Amino acid sequence: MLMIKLLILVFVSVLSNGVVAMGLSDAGKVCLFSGMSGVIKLDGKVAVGARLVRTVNKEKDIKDETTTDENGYFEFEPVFERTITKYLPMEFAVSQVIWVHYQDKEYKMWSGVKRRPEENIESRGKPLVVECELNSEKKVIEVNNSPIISLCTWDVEADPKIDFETIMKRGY
Amino acid sequence: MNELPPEIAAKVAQDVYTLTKSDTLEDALLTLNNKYKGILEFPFSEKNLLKGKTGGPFYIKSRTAFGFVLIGKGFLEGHVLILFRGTQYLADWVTNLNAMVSSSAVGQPVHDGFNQAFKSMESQVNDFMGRLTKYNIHTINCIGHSLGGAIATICGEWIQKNYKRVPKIYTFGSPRVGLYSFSSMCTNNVGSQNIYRAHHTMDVVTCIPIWPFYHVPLIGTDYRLESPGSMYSVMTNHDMFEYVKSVSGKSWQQLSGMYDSNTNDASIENWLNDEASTGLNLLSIEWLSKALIYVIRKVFDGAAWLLSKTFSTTFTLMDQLAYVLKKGLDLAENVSSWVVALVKKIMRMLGMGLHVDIAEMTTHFIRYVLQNLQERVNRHVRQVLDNVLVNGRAI
Repeated sequence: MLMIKLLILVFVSVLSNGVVAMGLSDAGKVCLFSGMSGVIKLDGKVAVGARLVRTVNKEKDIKDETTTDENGYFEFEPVFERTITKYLPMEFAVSQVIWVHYQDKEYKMWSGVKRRPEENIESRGKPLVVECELNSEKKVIEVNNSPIISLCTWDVEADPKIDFETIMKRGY
Repeated sequence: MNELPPEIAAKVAQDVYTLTKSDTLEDALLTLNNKYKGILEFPFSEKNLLKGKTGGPFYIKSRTAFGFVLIGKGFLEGHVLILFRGTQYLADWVTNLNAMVSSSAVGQPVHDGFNQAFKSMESQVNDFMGRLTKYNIHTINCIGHSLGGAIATICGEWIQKNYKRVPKIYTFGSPRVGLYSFSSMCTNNVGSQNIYRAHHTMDVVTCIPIWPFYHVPLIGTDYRLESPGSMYSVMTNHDMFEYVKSVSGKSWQQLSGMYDSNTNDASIENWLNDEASTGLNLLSIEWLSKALIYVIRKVFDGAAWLLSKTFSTTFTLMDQLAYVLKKGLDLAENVSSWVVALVKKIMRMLGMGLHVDIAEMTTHFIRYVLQNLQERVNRHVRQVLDNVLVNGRAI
């Protein structure tokens, strides 16, 4: 017991000297949601004046919105955050949601978790240009380990499927 | 074969961040099925979304998802996965640094922040374990990265104690969980063969809290992986994506052979006796913490009476440590020689001159050396972290 007490005291002493104290004022830039543009359709017809509400959440909600023009076209600017988390050993995971409000109905157009801080990882580096059909079935795609559940299509290839069964059988 | 291959354990440790960050449980389910359909399932509704508290006593606490429990299907039939999330939020990071010790399931001292994080989920894990009877389970896997790895370790010990089932524990880049006696008992109770601790050699998170905290398993194999970045690549070396890359395509056996990680008594003695110049780095700090405990243990073994003398005074901790080591010098040669070796090793690490003989090693002198060591270790860890922040400013 005294041994334990000694070890506890050593630890408390070390900690009280502020071994791991550090300033948290510095900042780096991470991309929470890449810039996005595209066209919204309902049953194949462009959705004019549809209201898109975007919510990004890393530690807290950041909301903005836009409206489609006469061609059903919309644009969202990229969302960046200056944060020390890019430089600290913390996992990056950001929730991305877009709801479309159109003709008294709500559609969850996009629900993803961005797992890398770089811009345009949702489209493997290319600009994120989508076409979304509000009356379509939800599709799930994983890109750069970031899953996206959406009513949209865009030019991107999904991550290859992992053959877990072979890994399990071989042990690697 | 009941062990999970490294890649599967790493993938689920990576994906728990994604699952806990999904907008709704339904979205988490869709995400899970997209990747693990027919292999892993949520066992029952929202009960599986473990919620934990984060934040230390001096910080605002918030409730947030911390992990998932999953049931294996198909070729994973009979497996249960209890997954814990690591440091995703700043508050979690602060929690990690906000350490005291408290008692684990078997009454051993563990980092209080990690312990409280587990305790906030204990009743839900208990509820889950109680429901497992309707499944034919042969292996319970506790898995996590970073803070999640520490919680997985505490959870594994808790399951062993409360359910008399031996779990498998998989951790990636876990900080040190508890003091020596915890590590020792957890290693004995769970069995070193059931504990898979994978870590990049330059992952600074695995070096905190600094001694006297110990990793689990205390003996046996740990899986040291080559670091993807330099010592200052704090983010890269701790990144779960990098851990997945490091272990993919390799078996546990292959990973165990990557570095010689044998640190039994003989290897500690060899390290102490090695007169080659040793700088202060993450690896040597790890060795030093093991050597320090080893020598203190030898002193107490050689002079049990010393235990009752120690702490009976109002000396500071550093005084007491110096006092114990000085007393060790007065014992038989098989103890005193290790105290001398330790002090000289520390002096070499600090770049201090070695022109000192045993007669000059007074309590005051030993205290001076220990004080220097502590300051230098503190400075070193701070430098690593500061450098990260300086890089941040540069960008």
